[in-house]
Amino acid sequence: MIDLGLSDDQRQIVDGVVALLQENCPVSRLRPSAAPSDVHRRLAEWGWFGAALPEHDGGLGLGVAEEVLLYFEAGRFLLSPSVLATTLAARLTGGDERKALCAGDRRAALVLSLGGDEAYCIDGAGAQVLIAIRTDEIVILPAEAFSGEPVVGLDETVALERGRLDHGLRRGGERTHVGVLLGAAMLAGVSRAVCDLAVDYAKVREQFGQPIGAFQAIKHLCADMGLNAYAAEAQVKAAAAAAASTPRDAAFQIAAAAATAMAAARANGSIAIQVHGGIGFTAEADVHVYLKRAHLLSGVLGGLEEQHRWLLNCPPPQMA
Amino acid sequence: MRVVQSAEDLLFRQEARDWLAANVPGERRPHETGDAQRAFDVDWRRRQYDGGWGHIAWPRAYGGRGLPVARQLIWYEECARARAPAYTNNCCFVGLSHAGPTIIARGDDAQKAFHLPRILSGDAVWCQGFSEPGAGSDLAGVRTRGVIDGDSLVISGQKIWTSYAIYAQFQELLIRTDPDSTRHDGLTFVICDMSAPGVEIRPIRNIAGGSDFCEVFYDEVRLPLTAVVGGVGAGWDVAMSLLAFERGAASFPVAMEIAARVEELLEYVESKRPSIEGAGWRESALGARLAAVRADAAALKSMVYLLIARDAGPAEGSYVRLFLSELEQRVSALAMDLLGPEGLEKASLGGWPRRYLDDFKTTIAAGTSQIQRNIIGERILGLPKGGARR
Repeated sequence: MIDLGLSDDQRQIVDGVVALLQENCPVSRLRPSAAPSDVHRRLAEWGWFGAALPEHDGGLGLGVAEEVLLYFEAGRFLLSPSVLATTLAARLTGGDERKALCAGDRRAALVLSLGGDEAYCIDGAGAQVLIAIRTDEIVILPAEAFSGEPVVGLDETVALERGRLDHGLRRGGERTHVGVLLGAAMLAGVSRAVCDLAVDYAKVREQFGQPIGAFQAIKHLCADMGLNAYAAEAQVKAAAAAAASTPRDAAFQIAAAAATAMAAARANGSIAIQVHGGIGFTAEADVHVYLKRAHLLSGVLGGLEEQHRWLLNCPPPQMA
Repeated sequence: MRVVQSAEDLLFRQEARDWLAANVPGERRPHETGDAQRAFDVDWRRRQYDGGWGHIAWPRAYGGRGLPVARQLIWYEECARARAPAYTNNCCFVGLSHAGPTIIARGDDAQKAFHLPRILSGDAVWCQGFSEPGAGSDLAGVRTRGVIDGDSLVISGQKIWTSYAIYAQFQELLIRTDPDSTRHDGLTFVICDMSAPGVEIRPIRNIAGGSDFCEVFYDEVRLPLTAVVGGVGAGWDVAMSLLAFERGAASFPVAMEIAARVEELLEYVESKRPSIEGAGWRESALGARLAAVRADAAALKSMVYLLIARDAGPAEGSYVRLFLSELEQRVSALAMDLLGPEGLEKASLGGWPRRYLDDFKTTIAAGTSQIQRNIIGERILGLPKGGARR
């Protein structure tokens, strides 16, 4: 079976990272009026980008399971996809380059191919390295490979550029599903955080003389969010366990995790806006950012259809 | 967060696989309600019991193997893989999945010694007597009454939606023993001998064509007080521990079966591919639905692992129960669409159309999906209770 409990060490890591993110990355930092803050540097000091790399390379020597726990929290706190790009770049490089990425001296950003030479780049300012995630591989490119112009993104909390990738995106990257796994963990975190936000709101917002969460119409929407978040968390954790110890099943479990987490984050983002009512339609409330982030992260991972296609091509897992 | 698979686990898995390969019945379960169906269910139970597979996790003293839950899950997984007779569509299910665990948790020594081995061997079939015409989702509205007379309880009233009542020797019966009580107080959980004078069973034909689902009437049925579980007046509490089993561990074998059923549908589509949607069925809308239920089935198994790991109290079982019951319906509805016109015949593809109808019960039994959502909202998410009558 798969033991989805956390070890004492894992629990400590989660507590530590939650404290770090609460202090340095409250979701309020994403509001238009907030002062800019250098989250990337603080994460590097904590050891984030080399969490699963050997200590002699500047890493923390943890495993992929621990990294998944980190990225669940990264999703909850809406960290930039560039954080994921930098973790992946540090995995794929070596020597001084890897050390510089771990130390926060060099940064990576995600690119998303639109077919042919066209691509988006997300939060590319200050990045020296570009990362593209495909279901079964990660492609690494120098920043110079992309040139583009800013466009107005769906998710305004990241900078989106549209432009050209030299030579497009050819195959030949690292063969691994870990990018999809960590992205799925972020989506599971998004689905949990936005569920919590809406449930908290439903407990305090009163209409007809009682909290709206007392009404079944709202309560059942909240239950659906809780269920979606539970399913996503469970499958992401199972995929992490498979990635760590049963490689043969990893592709199946990770594709199932990505599909489950994409659906959960998208659904919960939508439901949470509805539960918030009029406030949920305002830019001022945080709730819309989670929905937009669900779309952004799903796009980065190739979209739900791609994960479905992948899943149908996997053999069933040997053991679950 | 790790895959646990010891050398002993692997040996156990192989042992299970070998035994199942030699013992899973070749014939299908009769779909008509009646003696042949009962015999099929009981024979399969008996064969497992005699083979040493009566129950993996129950204590040895009661005929189980006393092994950890991990081995139990391996057994369920291997049963599903071997396409063994289903766990729930089987009249031994009530005893195995909730009467037995409830007796282990709340019964006295005599009840354990008498009932548990009989449940495992198939010698005793059980049914549930909770719902009444006036107490469905609102279970605390139970009105069937029990009057204490010396060392007996005398029971009069009516139960309904009692699956397998016509097959059962024993029933988990929830009655009101304090006539002045209302709601949760004054209830008692008693083991009813279905052969006792005054018990009358009337089968109800269900939408899938079966009639194992019954009304039960009690006309001054006399049961010994020794058949009470957990003490007179403690019925609500005992019933709640039973429902925790019904919504929790009872889901484990079903989660494994659903994953196997989705694989069966994939094999079917693969074999029928030229006639279904051309070579590109993976790109079709049906392909997307197949992928979605495959992901959901994987997630359901993972939810079982998370439920076990978190051990966070009975309410979390409602997450698994709700997801499972709605997924079963999505899968059988998808099977109907995959079958096309052959879905018009109940027996097509091993009886998927019949299952499609039968699966409408899953979001009603063990608490409707709406009740599960109330539980999740109130007991897990901490939302305030609603409704005027609390």
